[in-house]
Amino acid sequence: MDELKRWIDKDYLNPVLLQQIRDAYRQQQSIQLRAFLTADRFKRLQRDARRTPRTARSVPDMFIYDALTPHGMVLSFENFLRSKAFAQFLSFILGRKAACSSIEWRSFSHRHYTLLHDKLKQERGIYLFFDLTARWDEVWGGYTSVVKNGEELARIIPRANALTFLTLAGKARHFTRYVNHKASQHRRLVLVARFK
Amino acid sequence: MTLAAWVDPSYLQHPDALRRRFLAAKPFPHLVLHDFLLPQKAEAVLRALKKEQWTLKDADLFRFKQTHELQSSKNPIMQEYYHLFSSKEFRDFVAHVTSTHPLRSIDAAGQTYSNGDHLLPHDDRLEGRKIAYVLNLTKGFTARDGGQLNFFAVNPKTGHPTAIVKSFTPHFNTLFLFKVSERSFHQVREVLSNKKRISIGGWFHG
Repeated sequence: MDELKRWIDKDYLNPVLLQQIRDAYRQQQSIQLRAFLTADRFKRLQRDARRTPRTARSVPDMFIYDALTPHGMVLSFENFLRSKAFAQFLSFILGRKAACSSIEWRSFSHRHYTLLHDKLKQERGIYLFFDLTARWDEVWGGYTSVVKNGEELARIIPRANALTFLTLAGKARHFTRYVNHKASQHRRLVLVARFK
Repeated sequence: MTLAAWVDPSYLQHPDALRRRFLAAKPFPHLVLHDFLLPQKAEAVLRALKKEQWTLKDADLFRFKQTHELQSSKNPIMQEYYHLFSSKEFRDFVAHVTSTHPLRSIDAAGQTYSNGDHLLPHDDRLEGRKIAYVLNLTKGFTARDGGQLNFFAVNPKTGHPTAIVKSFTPHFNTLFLFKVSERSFHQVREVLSNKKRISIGGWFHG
């Protein structure tokens, strides 16, 4: 519990609210928890993420973005998401056991995107998106779109300190919309994790 | 209707030279034919195309506006245009210059790219598509406006596109033809200004 308290805003550890979140997730199979981390932790995480080295990842018919190499608070947060304490927190909301299987920090700026490529395997499971971006306008693109058979099921607009998780089942898949020139120098920093 | 009533005669006189250019072009066989239609025909097609109904197409790969299939247009100029492009005479001409036989049918639709619109890298491969074409009808674009048609080199080991090796700024009345294959990776670069990039595109099917 101590580890959860160090990271997560105390409201989200309130049993009454947690039960409401669990019920909402059961109905919608997705939920966004805003102001998720404590203000202090989030500020430090944001600061370290901005300083984190980035590596270009480019297969133009599949994706173009930068991947962050975790260190400092970025690495600590990643370790927290892999911890037993967080697994128990998540498992309560999901109503079943959940274990972290992959984590990647991605940076999207002008001309970056991911595509729904036939060869790009996207496994089913619980996907978790955590955004660090303070100010983002939907018209810039760069948001996460969840689609099934060509129909958009959900859209995750970047919002600082918002944790979104959703179940990808059947033919549902997600992609990050092309970031157009209207984004100028803005950059979306987002963690994408998958839980089994 | 004959091709000579629509197409610049210089293109009809030397089909073998066009064929050599097409086959030799890198990174994959293609042709760029400037001032392809007779000027008054190109202007008439542009005027007619602007009057068609447009629908926003928005997916992971693209964002632009598109018309319905021009075969169903009620506009006499569009009908004439479609009949020309789908005629046996024109299909045989394209089959000859692209060395792709036979070309049995075409499809055609208008596309308009506005500020921020784009088409990301893909190879166009779908059953039956042999030759892709774009008749560009855009006016007043410079390199700063974006909207370029880009061709990619392909990594022979992975089959994925790597870098842009050719880039064409849209020009009015320019016809692009290219062979659809596992190497034909291309994109339309995002439009960066408030000008409109307008064209008619589709495929010749085998």
